[in-house]
Amino acid sequence: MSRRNWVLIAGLAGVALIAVACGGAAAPTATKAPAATATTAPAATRPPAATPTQAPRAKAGGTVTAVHGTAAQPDQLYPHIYYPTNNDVFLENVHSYLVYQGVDGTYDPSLSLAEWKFLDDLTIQFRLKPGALFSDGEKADANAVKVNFDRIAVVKPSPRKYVIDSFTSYAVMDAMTVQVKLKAVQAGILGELAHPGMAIMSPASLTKFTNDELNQGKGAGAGAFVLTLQLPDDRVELERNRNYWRKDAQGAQLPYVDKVVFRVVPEATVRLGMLKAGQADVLRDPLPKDVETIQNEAGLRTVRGPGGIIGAYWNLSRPPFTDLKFRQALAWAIDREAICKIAYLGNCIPGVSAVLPNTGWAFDAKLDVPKYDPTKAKAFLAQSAITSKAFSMNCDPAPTATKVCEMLQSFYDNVGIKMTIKPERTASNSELMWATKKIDSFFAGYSATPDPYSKMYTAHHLGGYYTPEGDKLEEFDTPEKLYARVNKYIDDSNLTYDLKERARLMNEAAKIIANENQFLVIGYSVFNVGVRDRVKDLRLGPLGKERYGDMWLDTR
Amino acid sequence: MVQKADAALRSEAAEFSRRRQPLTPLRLLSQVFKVRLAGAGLVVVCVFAAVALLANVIDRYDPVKPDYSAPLARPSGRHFFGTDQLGRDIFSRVVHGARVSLGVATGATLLGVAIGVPLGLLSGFRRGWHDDVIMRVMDGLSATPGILLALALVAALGPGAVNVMVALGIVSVPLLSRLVRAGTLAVRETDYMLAATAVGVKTPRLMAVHIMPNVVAPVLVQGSLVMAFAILAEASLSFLGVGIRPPQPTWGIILADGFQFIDSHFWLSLFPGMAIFFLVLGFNFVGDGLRDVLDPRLGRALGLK
Repeated sequence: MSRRNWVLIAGLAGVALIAVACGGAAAPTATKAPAATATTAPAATRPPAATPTQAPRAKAGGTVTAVHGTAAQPDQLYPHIYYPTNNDVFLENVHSYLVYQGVDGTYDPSLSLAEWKFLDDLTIQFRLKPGALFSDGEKADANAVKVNFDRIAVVKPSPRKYVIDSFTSYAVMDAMTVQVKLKAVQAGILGELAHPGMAIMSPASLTKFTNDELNQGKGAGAGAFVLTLQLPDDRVELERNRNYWRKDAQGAQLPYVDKVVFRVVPEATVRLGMLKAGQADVLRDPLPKDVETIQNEAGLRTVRGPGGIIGAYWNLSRPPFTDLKFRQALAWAIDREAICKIAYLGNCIPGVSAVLPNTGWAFDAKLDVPKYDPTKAKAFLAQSAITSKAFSMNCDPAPTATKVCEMLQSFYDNVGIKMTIKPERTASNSELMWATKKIDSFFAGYSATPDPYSKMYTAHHLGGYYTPEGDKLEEFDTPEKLYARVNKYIDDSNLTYDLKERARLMNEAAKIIANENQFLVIGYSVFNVGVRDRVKDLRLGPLGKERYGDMWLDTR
Repeated sequence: MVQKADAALRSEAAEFSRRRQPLTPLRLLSQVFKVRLAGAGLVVVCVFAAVALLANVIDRYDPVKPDYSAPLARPSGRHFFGTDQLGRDIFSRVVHGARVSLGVATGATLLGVAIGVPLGLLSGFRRGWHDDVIMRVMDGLSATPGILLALALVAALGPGAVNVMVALGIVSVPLLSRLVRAGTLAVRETDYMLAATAVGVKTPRLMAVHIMPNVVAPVLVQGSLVMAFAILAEASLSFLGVGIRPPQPTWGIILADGFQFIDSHFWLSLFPGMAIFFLVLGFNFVGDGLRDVLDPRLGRALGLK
């Protein structure tokens, strides 16, 4: 057959395929009515480890398959050094912390490696759980805590060094007791210690393995699972930690699940298909448009938790962002509700405060400006001394991030600001901004622990920005000394245990951040996990990521 | 008897004379239209070219400006191809995407020709170390799959229409230069080249006047196929998020936008997909037809000459 005939046949086949595709896609799908949606209420559940949600029934283990995209793979599994948020879920299931914090901000000693007591404002005593072991059989005792603190203070790079630096001392009182003395009152200290970056690891593994090996997940933890297999672009396997120190209310050893297999599936459509077909029990972070599909599908539901703040960082070290009026124009020009509704398809709560809504005691719902007001934005722009009203924004090429950036671009275009979109992976932007100072701005989403201090410090305090070289970043402060004022409120909020005063100070910082647009808060994303109905008691940790330690499978 | 022989001779001379007529663009077009599929391909290409040129006249809405009141609308009289997630009219975006796709493909092809043809001529005519150096470089470029090489070049140059054009142009150079070199090697050994050299024709003129016209036919054929490749490659790069920057409408970006909704809003991907499909098919048909027309033996067999 001639080449021409081949091409003709290929052409006809293509047309036929398109026709079939149209017909197939247009066909109605069998979905459950929306009314029957079974969605776990967002966020506000403290994991009651010992409370069965069903009638007494054998809680089956077995293997759970979770699917996620390529970007969710772990790449840095040594928690004491800087790690991107895609590692959270693995760290939370492999390690334990002195303090456990739920998604609602409450602390729960029953889920922690230690119980704590404030002896005075500056002294905290931690009593380790008797008999607790690491997965390698080493004792999780007071000495282990000290070894970990020692390591966090010296390891490089150490984004949590500032926590250890805030201690006057930490001492082993007896085999199971550690006493920490603080240099000053630190209201956010429990939140800091609950962060995955403060995981308590087996001292033997810290000695035995290099940082690179620890990054590959070789370190032993005291969490519910042990990382046993890691195949890049294929899968990660966690197996039950037989030494796990927690038992359920009936005295049964946790976790119930024998193995969690995280499969890497690049295509979101395929991941959803796997959940629907029962090839996966858990679909991590589905696309916003798939959330409704999951909620409407019989046999599936979503578990929802706070995903963190979404917004944009500006390079305040250079024009046009050095100009307050220009920044205010940027803040008043955008329609946050439209962004949440269109780009996130409703999986986002519009907002302007840098304090997350899941921090019940600190979140101030009355902080609702800047609002969407193009006229006001234009007025601010007219008052601005900046002549070149143009900038670029680095945006992750992921679909939702791209859409948000395109929407920002159109809002800014409406008021006469020209924004160019530069595709750049999220992981690179932070370093490009703080270490190399090479970019104008970047769209960012960050997860946050429920105590606002930790994230306020690391996201909005000049001392909290991470650079590998530990650079001083004073040049980022504006002529109005924006950072100096924000820093002070954040620092002061940590110097009192009075929650009302802490909340007031946090919100003062949040007001400045919002009004002077240090960081453009757009809203708060919702982290969704799609699960099959047989998956029971899947909890979310403080960063909104799944904890499989209490999960079981309904195999009826 | 003599008269018969004379008539036969006259007829043969007329036929010879007709064949000797230079193949003008108009004549080439008329020949291409005689090959049915090539004609159809040319019509398709011309339609897309017209759409690209008249994009500002044909479009119904601003292809970039969102309309938050109409996200993900189905195809209708108001929006022929529906709207995307930001409420932008897909018809207008596809129409403007034609301009980008054809622009990038044409630019890339011209760049490939501008670099590849002189290199091929030089390599084939000079031989010796010129040939060795140029061909080894081409070997190196050919060793990497085209789309991967384009991806690497765009990653190095940065996103943007011009950079995509440059990357795709470079990718097409090895193929075109090899083609021209092969033709040049054959032509440089002919008697008329020997004669031209003997009467003192200078090298640039030899290459431009005596060799170039004889190697242009395969370049034309290959050029149309390079156009098809460039359209696909540009769409692929934009789809992968490394090509042209959003919100500029390119078929690859429109496809990428629609891909996540493919199971629920198929039209987001269908129309840009069809545009790519038909334009690439058109160029392939044209390339096929050009080969038929420009190949003397095949053309004669098909009764084209």
